[in-house]
Order: sequence, then structure tokens, then C-alpha cells
Amino acid sequence: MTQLLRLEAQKLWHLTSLRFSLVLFIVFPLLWAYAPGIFNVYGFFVVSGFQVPGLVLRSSMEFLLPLLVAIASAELFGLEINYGTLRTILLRPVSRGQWLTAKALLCCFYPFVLVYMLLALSLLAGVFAGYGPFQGGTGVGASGLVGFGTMLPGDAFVELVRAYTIAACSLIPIGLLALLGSVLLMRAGAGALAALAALIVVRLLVVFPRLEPFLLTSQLDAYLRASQGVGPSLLYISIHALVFAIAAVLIFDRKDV
Amino acid sequence: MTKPITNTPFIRPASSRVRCQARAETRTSVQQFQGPDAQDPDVRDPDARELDARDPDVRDRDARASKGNSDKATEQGFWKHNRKAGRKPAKPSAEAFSGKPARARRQPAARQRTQKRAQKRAQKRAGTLLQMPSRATSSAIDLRALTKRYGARTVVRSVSLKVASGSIYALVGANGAGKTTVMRMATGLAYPTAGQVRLLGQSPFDDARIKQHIGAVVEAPAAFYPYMSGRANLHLHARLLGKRSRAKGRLVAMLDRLELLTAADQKVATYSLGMRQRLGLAAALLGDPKVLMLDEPASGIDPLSVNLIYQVLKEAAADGCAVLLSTHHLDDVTDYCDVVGMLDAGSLVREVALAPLRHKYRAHVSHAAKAAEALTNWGGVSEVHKEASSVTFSSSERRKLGQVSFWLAKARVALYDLQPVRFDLKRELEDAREQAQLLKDDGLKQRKPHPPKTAEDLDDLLDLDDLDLDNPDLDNLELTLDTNGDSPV
Repeated sequence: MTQLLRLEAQKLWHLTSLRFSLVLFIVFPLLWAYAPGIFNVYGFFVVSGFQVPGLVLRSSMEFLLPLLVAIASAELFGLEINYGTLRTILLRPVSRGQWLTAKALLCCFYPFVLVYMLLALSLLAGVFAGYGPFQGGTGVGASGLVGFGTMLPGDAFVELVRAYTIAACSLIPIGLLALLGSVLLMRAGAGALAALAALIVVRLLVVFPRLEPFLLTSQLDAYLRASQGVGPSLLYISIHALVFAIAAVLIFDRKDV
Repeated sequence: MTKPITNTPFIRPASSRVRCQARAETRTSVQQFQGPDAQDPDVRDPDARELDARDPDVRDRDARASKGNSDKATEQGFWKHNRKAGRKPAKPSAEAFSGKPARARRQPAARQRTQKRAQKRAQKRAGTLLQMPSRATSSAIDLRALTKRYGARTVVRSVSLKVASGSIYALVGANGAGKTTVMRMATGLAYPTAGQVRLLGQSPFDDARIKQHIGAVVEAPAAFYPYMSGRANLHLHARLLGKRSRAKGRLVAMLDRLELLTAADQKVATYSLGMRQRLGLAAALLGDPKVLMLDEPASGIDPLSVNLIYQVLKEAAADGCAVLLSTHHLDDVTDYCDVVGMLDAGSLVREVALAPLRHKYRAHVSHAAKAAEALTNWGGVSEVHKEASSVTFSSSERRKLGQVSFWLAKARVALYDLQPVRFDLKRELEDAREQAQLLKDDGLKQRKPHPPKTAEDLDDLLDLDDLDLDNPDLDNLELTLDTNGDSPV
């Protein structure tokens, strides 16, 4: 298993989607930080470097981050099909379950890589506004962007790390859903698209109010909730993640390759 | 050494035998060296088919060993021996099952159990608790009635084959015949709809650890991570195989043997097709496998590389590895393989043991009948057949060929030339396909019988040609015609 995890981690740096994400994450925060029309949209000016990551996370969790996670997770599996190495590896004394579990673990790890990369680059992008104490909030805490007065840099940083960590957790099921899609369809692109299509359909299920708290899409803004609201969200996220991962492993175990 | 395979629902053994007679002169039936028990392919012992696949020398040696040394009889051998002799099998001794000498049996039972447990613990610690094939399992690769269906489409129909250790088995057939599907099922990549796969006595679907002893290339060209060098890819495979094969020496030796040492540190993305195939073979051989399975190993590569690949396969087989490959290169099959299986529309329609055919010679002579008589009387060569102006015979010893001219001269027959007979695999394949098609048509006709209207129809339906009408038992015979079921009678 350790060998497999090492192998999968090595592959991570060869994912096209990761390189694409890196380029995007350099450009995207800069757009937000220096956008001339930001006052017209949000009604405020960026006064601190800690506000840029908040703004970036709020805007990217809508679609961009789920998309990037879905693509990368599907690519983790689809890459093997493209290279033809899926069969080569399975001809070795490696069980299918072990191999896909290693991939699933990497899918769980990948959102953290992605969001912390985004956090670091967003913080860098906000360097023009400085990192000192400021009047307002980070945009991802209880006080929103307006805040309750002066915010210290340490508090702001902790708030950002908390929000980014919860956001990464809520992206895990999406990655695993994309993995399940690519296992089912044996194509990276089709797997990612299937995951996104499923998300759109799930988003529409808000018309059933009783279902809404349990939906996967309802957990995507868990990072904005206060501490007591995060617990149930993390539970639902874990359940979704487990179901998708187990389904992927079971299906792959009976799949012809 | 040819036999029709009659395991498809369409094939009637009786009619297949009739058709085989047409080419009986050019082919030697498998039954010839299987004895009278094996005349009907359907009732033959399945293990007997494996015997066909082996070199005659090995076969003879094994037969002698099994006859003379009953102490070493395996469980399978024991039962088979009794069955073939027509005796009711007595209860076999524990020794026969365990294959242990009598001295070991005399040890106290408790001591034996302790030793066994200690051995198991040691194996468990080493992470290699794997039930290795017992002596009873003589076939390294054993595919039993493999069938694969995709929806309503059947791509592989009840394919059974065995490959013994030390032999090379080639699967040939047209595109879409089902070769790759058979290979995928044999390697455990695709699940058969019906049938079983046994590699070294174990199913690759049950325990992945059996793959430590299996080398395979099922992609053409062999698939590797393109961003890694050839050496790094092999290191990766060695790591996945476990500590045993991680020895750098073996890795370098494999690269060297397959002429890849100079390119070992280049990225695989820069490799040519032939280099990739050779790297694939190097990876497959890395774990010193007991079973090697290759799908189209020589596909699209230059003749020199093809030659190298087959040489390496030959060496692996000489080391006791069982090799199963699928290919379109019929000439190479004739030169290097021991057995060829012909697939057509998913069915294994014929198996030919090639090794004995390599020792076949044709002598053009002045008088064929005299020459045949002289060679038969001499006895130094076997399977002497008379043709119009020549005789064909088999001889596994080259030195005896020199004596042929002497014996012919003694019989006052002039010898014009003496040449090895090259087996025409292409013709054989075409013939097998044709025959399979005919049998399939026969089967279809048989499936939809028309109710007989005349006495001739009834005669055709019942196939009464060979019936002895003078037999008094026929007076009491009562026939019932049932045209509603699948069987007409």
C-alpha cells in the first residue's frame, strides 16, 4: 500500500489539471485583488491582504474549485487508461481494491493541495494591501467582509485556514464522485462531466426542502458556517465520501479492464 | 499432431472425424500417440491434451517416470493411472497425495503438524503465504471452458487449453477471433462469463499474489509511464513485485539482454515501438516468472527485434517458464513455438503440436514404395509415409539422417534430395477455419430439423449408413421420433 501511495503521489505532479490549476491560481487572485469594478459588485474596497483569499474562496467554491477537483480526480484514473498502464499495473501482484483505495486516498488529499495552494497564492496577491490589523473581516468568518471592528492578522489568518480546510473537506466527495464516474465510464473526461452533471442535478433538489440539509451541494458552503453548524456538515460530507469511495472500489473490482 | 476441438455447441464429433480423414495423409492425428483411450476427442481425458502439447522427448521421459516410479505418483497421476488401466481405483495412500517419501510418513503425527505450522508461520512472516502448485498440477496455465459474452454477443466460446511448464503455446487467428479477450481473461484482467482460469493451480481472480510468478504484456505497444525513464519504470515494477526481484543485477541483466541498456535512462516517451515492446518483455521477465503471457509481442516491430523477442521467449521456456502468446506472425510461430491453437470466431478450432513436425523430412527418391519399405524395415526413423515420388519420415536425431542414404542405397533406391518439411501453418489455419465454418453450418442445420417426409429423409436424419441390418437385435428396436425438442430423435 505504501508503494502504491508513493506511486500515486508521484503521478500527482504529472497531472495536466494540476498544472492548469497552478496557472489559474496565479491569475485568478490577481484579478480579484486588482479588479477595478469590485466596489460596484460587492460595495467595498479591499483594505487588507487577508481579504483577497476570502473573496477568492467565496467566488471559486461556486464552480471553479469543484470543477478542478472533479477533473483532477477523474484524470488520476483516466491517465492510467490513456497511458495503458491500468492493465500493466494490475498485472502485478496488486489487488484492484488496494490500487483504487490508493487512488481514492489521493483524491481525498488532492483538494487540500489545491486549496492551500490557492490560499498561498491569494495571500501573495494581496500583498499590495498589506497584512497588518484592519477594519473589517476576511469574508469567510462570522463577521463577513464588514467585520466587527479591528481584526488582528493572527485572527484573520486562523479564520482563513479554517475556512480553506473546511472547503477542502467539502470538495472531497466531489473528487470521489468523479473517480466513481471515471471508473464507471472508463474515461477521464466522461467521469468528470458525469460528476459535474450529478452536482447540477443535486443542486436542483433544493426544491425538496426536507432533502436540502443532506445534499452534497448544501455542504459546499460549510466553510461559511459557525462552528456548531460545521459538525453535521462534516458528517454528511464523510458519509457521501465513504459511499462514493466504496462504490468505486466495488465496481472496479468487478470491472473488465 | 492435429486434432479438431469439438467443444463448441455447433460441432458434431462424428462429422468432424469424417472430414478429418480427407487430410489424414498430410497430418498425423493426435490420437496416434495417445493410445486407444483417446480416440474420441470428447471422451478423452483432459490431461491427455496437455501431453500433446509437450515435446515428445519430455513426454516419453515423463511417461517412463510415471510408470516406473509409483512412489512419486501424484494424486492426479494415481487416479489417472488406475482409470486408464481400467481398474477400480483403490484408496490412495497418504504418501501418494503428499508426495513425501515413506520415511517422512513414519514421523510422529504431532511432530509433522508442528513442523507444518512452523513452516506456515515463516511463510506468513515473509509475506509469501501462497499455495504453490502441488505436484498434481502439471499445467502452469490451465484455461477451462472459458466463455465471454458481451450482452448477446459471444466473443469467446468455451475455450480450453493447457500450457505445460517449459513450452511455448501460440494462439493464432484472424482479427476479432478472440485472442486478446482470451489473453485478458487468462491474465485476470477480464472476468470470464463462464469457465475457469488456473495459473500455477490458482485463480488470478482470487489472490493477486499469484501474479508474483506471472509476467505479462497485454498492451501493444507495452504501456509504461512516458514521463519516466525505462530504468525508472522497471524499478517501479520491481518495487511492486516485492523485495525478491528488486535486485539491481536482474534489472540490468534484463535491460542488457533486450539491448536496452544504452537507452535505459531515456524517457519512455522517446522510445520506438520496438523498444517499448522489448521493455515490456524486460518488465515481464523481471520477477523471474513461471508463467509468461504476451499479447502480440511482435506486433509492428522490425524483424531483428522480433527475432530477439522470440529468442528470449525460447530461453525463458528453456528455464521452465510456460509461455502463452497470441500473434499474427505465423512463420515465427512455426519456428519457435511448441503448440499452436487456432481461434476462429471465439472458438478454439484446432491445436497442433509443432515440435514433432520440426523433425519431419522429405526425401525425393527414384522409387517411393521401395524407399518407404527400406526405411520402415530399418527402423531408424519413424512415421514413414509414401508419396508419389518421395517419402516423408520423422527423425529427432540429426545424425540418423546421414544413414538414410545408406539404407536407401542398400535397397537400390536413388536419393535425389533430402529436405526438412516446413509446416504450412497458414494453410492449416485456413483449413481449420473452413472446417469450423462447415461444422457450424452443420450445427445450424441440425438445430432446425425439418420433419422427415420420405424414407430417405428419415435415413438422412438417423444417419443409418453404418447400421448392420443383419443384426438380429434390430428386430426388437423401437424408434421414437421427436421433432419438438432440440434433438431430432
